[in-house]
Amino acid sequence: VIDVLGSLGESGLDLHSSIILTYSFDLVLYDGLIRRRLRHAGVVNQMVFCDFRKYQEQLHSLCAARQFGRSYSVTPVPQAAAFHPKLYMVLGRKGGRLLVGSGNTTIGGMLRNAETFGLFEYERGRDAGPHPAFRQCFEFIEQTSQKESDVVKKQLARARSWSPWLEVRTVSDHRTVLIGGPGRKSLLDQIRETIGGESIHDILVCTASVDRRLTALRELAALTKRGKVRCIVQPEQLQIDGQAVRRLGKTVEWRPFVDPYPREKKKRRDVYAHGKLLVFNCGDREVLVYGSANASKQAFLDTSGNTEIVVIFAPWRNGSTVKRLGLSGSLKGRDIAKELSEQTWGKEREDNAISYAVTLTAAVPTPNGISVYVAGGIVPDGTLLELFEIPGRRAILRGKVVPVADGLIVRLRNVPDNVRIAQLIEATGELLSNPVGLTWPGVASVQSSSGINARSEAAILAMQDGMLLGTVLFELLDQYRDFEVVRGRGSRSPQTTNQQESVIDRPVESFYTDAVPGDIAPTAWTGDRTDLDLLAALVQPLQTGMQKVKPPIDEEDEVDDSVLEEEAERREIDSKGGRATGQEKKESPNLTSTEALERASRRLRRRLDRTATAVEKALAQRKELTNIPAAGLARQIWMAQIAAFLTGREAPTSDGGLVLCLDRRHFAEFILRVCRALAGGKDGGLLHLVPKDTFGGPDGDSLKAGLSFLWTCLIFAVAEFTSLWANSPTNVHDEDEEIEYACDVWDAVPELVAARFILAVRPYCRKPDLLNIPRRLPDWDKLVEGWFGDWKLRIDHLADFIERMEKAKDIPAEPVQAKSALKVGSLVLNDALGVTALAAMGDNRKCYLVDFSRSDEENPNNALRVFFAERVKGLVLPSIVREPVWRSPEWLISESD
Amino acid sequence: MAENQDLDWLERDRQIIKGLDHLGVQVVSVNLYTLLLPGITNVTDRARYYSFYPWVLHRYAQSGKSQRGRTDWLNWIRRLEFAFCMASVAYEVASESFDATATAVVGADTARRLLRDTRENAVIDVRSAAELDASGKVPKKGAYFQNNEGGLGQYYKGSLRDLGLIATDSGYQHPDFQLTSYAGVRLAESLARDAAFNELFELATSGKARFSELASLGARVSPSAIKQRSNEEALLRNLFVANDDELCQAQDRTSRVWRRALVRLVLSYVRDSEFVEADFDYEFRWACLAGALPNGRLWRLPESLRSVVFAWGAYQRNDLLNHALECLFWVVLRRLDERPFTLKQICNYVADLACAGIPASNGHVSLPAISGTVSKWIDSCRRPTKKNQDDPWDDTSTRSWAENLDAALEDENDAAVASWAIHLLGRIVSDRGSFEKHPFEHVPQAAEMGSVHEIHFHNWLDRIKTCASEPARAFIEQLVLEWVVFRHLRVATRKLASQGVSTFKLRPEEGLLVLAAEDIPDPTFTNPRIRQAHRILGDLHLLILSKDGTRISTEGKKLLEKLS
Repeated sequence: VIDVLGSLGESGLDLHSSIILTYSFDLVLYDGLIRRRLRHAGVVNQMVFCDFRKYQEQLHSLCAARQFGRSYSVTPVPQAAAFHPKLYMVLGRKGGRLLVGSGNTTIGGMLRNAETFGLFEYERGRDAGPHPAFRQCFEFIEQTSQKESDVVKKQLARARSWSPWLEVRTVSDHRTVLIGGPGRKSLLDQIRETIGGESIHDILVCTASVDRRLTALRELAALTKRGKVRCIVQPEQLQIDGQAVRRLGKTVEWRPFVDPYPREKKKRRDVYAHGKLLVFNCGDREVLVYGSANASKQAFLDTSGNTEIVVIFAPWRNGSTVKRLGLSGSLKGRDIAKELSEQTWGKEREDNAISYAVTLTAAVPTPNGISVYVAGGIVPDGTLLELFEIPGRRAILRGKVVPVADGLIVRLRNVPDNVRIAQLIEATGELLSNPVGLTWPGVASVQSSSGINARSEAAILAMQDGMLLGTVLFELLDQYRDFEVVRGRGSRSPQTTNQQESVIDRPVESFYTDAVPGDIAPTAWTGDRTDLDLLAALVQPLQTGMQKVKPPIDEEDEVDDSVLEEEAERREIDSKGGRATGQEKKESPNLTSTEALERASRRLRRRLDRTATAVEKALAQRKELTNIPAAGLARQIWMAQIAAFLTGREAPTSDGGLVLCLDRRHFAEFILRVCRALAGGKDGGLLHLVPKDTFGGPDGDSLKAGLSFLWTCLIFAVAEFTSLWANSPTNVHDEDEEIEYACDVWDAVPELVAARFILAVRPYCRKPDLLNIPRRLPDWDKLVEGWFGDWKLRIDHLADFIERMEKAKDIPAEPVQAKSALKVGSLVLNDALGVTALAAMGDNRKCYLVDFSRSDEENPNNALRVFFAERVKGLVLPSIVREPVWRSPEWLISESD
Repeated sequence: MAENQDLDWLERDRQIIKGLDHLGVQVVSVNLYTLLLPGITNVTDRARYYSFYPWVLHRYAQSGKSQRGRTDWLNWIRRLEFAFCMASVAYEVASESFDATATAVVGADTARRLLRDTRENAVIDVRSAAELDASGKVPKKGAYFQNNEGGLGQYYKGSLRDLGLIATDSGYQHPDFQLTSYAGVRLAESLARDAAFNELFELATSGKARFSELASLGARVSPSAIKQRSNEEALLRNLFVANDDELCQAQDRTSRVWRRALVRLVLSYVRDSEFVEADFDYEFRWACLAGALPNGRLWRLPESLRSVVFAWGAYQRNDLLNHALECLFWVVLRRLDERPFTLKQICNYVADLACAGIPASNGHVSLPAISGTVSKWIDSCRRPTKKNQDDPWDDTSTRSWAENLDAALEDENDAAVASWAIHLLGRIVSDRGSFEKHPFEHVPQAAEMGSVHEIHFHNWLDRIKTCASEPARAFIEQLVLEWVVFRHLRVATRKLASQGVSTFKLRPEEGLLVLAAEDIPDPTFTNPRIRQAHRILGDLHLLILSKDGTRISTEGKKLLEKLS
């Protein structure tokens, strides 16, 4: 059997992109399962293309698909007939996988039905070259998306640029992919060409659907010497016209599908025979065709019919297909022609979709409004775009559609986060187009997995809920004199893992303890609820009272259903009249499962993200805040301590594996974001809002100690990020045509963020806190030897330089008079912003400078300030100061445009 | 590429299980009762096991044998536990009286079977069913209990740890816990001083006894035989009521407060009711929701217990919300059992049934059809205040409506199920309990817990508020679509993603919804540990439990006064 879901998961191929082509699409399944599986495998660039009509049906389920349009794009493909392929492609830097088959992206198609699939696989270094099917399918997808939104085109461009192996010399095998659809030869003609002059004795067909007049079956029969086909169908599910069956008479032998699926103990009531096969019997050999195409006129005969993708095998020994798929049971069945001839062509399943004057295929929020993409019809003047949260509910916003150079746009100041659906209406209020789900541009601006392989990406992970957290708390308490730390007695060495039958000496006193939770030495610490609560209380995101904290949208996916085990056990006992046998609950292993640890790790990452977002929001509202209590910021620093402790640490799982608690990149990102918000720029950050006198009290001591530790972490983060991008495959191999942009200011110029931070904390902290650092930050010694000294010196020099520049009266710098004299990313000086980075140059000698004291999540380019060149001074850096590396954030680039 | 990967059948979901909580709302109820009654679980029914297991370990530690391994420990605990069970069951059989001697005793089924097949005066083997096989495993057949460590491993270990009687020992595995000196040892010693338990040890060691000997021993060691005014009784009471700082030093402070509050609430309830008939758990839950006693009087509580009863009322309302939604799910599945339908058809169907009026029957008056806006529908479900004052349990009460829903389920009357479920959902909007901002505000951490879940009582009230002016019919249709059909698909997908189990009861296929369940799950309520608390308070002589119902004991009254 082929594990399609498994094939989309972890592969060792350093996966980054996925493309799915499907007819039906189950949004809930994709959002809740497939998306997550792909993401855990490292796939950050996810695309789905589905049939336009089926897409419309799925919009009802948006309420249960929270990541739609944010973590992945779904593109409806409008065409006269059905867009009917079933193709699953995952692409990595080292190779990829391609599945072609009969299963749609639905529960049936991926989990329940009798579906057939075939797998193509390529791994650089292992295989001589990729199968041509990879490039062929990818190019087909690119053609399909020519009229689609820029977001999707960008996603495809990224997928291609991150998969350089798509361009290498291909290696064929016994399989050829054939694609049918509008503008192409009919699929049957392509098959005949591939088969060539082979004489066809008869044809075996497996199908889930037929055309009403059975034209395709008749045409297939006409190709055979005997003028016959055998057709395996599931009579209770097949839509068929009995009259046509009667008309065809003996031309078709109809056989009922007998499910040959292995390991099935009992027949499932909802299994649909959905596999599609054609087997051309050419004497002692046969030619197999499998894939998405049913035995229908639209699939095989029409040149403007369905889009279908099939695979044709080179001739192999006669009978191989039946043997491989276990179809002999079906072929031995009785002829069901009579049964089928009594059926009538039901209207129920016919297409009842409403047709609209305009075919809307995408709506993409932009900084200026919403870009609208249409694939057919005319958009008249006065057309409005209505925006909804849920289909069928009242619109929450509307705006006028206006033409611009490259399409249509609706100018809106703000597109609220809860808007999910867009639909065009006429000025009169009449519906003009179909509804479409919003695709946010962030879908295409995810970072690639460069620098981090898929394995660690997938394992961005875990903290063991009980034991590890307990240990963390202990370690944290140990660092601060404000808390009395009571050491428990020394731990005994744990016994070897296999104690199954070992007999050991055990003193009587070893059975007793006078310790209470919290007393026990770190290695023996398991933690309990109290400590988790305490820890959680310590690490709440900063609350400024000015924002309503929304629960993260994906939190419920991580709900721990194990709390239901007690309930399940009670019910199991009650269902047996109270007769418990001890089998109602499985024994829990001593260690936590991989799933639980991965869940814990993901929670940790989200918590870090929430913490960083909270301080960034507070920075954005800085002008409205009067002061911030020291304890408020101390919490963010506690979080840094926890994150540091878990960075690079691996937790053992119950299945013998290890799960990485937190990887360096995420830790570094968190530190840079927090430090940037704390320090701000010349105008200050959140630290400036902490009343000076609090630094003298006990909270201030904790805060100062924490800032010293943040200083240490920040140098680590700068070293990590700078080397990450320096070693990115895009730089090393020069294989990427695209520039990889920075996420934000902290990512664009981390050294400058660090220098700003050091300037802000120097009045309170003398030096970075290196006490017990390998224990508090286990990844500390994984960088090259001497890194800390080097980086500290570089940043100190930069900080000194900034301080000198901003305090000096006679600044050794010249006003920038000529546009050419400025280089984007250079350090410049401005009276208001001090030493900062030049982000871009605009018309009329306008300079866009980065304001480190500003932050705006909604509109990141608000972090820029515009000055005329006269007010910007170019700096000449002394040889001792190295200019920071600059990577432009994407939004800065568009701003300068 | 692996063999056959160029063409094969799709691998299908392998682990199809029945599952529970198909709409993901019960998990909120379970979290609520875990916060409200910590320290016990709904499978830890008997108080005596909290002293028995510490005694077993204490005795093992003191047994003097220096060389010990896994088999030693497992044999030790299994033999003693089964001997305890045999004695308890023998006494129950011999006494033929209702005092639940062997209720929830680990291994009682095997013991009953063995004793049933035994001739009078025959020597009974009390060891074989406890023995491990030659490979050190529990035999599949004939064992009194399948868990290696018996009821300790299966049920009690977590609770013993939460109550501070034992602590996890990472140094050793068999056993993997230690007895705490401030609690575990004290409980263990309270039994060690009891001669009956020495006899029990002798019995387990010899492995055989006559029925009369077992019964005689059972009269002194069974879970119902905790001696009044004994040290064991005092310690166990202090442990559960959590009012002894020394004994409870390892217990979480919040847990102590909430468990003590529950004990007070239960004792108050029984005292004020004078007598509680029938299913205590059921009556208590409704009392918390309605603030009324079984005899129809209002339940007047001291200020200090008001927030506790409000908290339990919020739990009950959340469970009612879940039950009503599961009833709608049940109607959906039964409809799909006839044949596949489109999503729209299914939602229409349920909304049609739900909005139709309910004709009068013996048990209740008729209810008009639902029409107009959501707020009008909610108003139509409101109970007149005077009715509640006159008789909290009359046929217009929320409880009565919930019982009508259960009767409709029993009758498999889909129309009545849909209609009563929707009326009940409407009712709990007005009968919402007492709170300022959030129905879970009386429970520590509960509002935060709820915030990560999409469906719970608070969000139901929010949803109604947001949609008050919408047509009720469309609202109900959308409710079925979002909080029933798609909710189930979402929850089942989550379970598949996180646990690898397939619990889909329906699924879309070719534009239709099809039934995927072998059996349609019955709507359920959660089990909030009240039954276990009730039993434990009976074991500790604070409540008097009989076949007919529950009364408070003199000791119970005294304790209540002390706690007040």
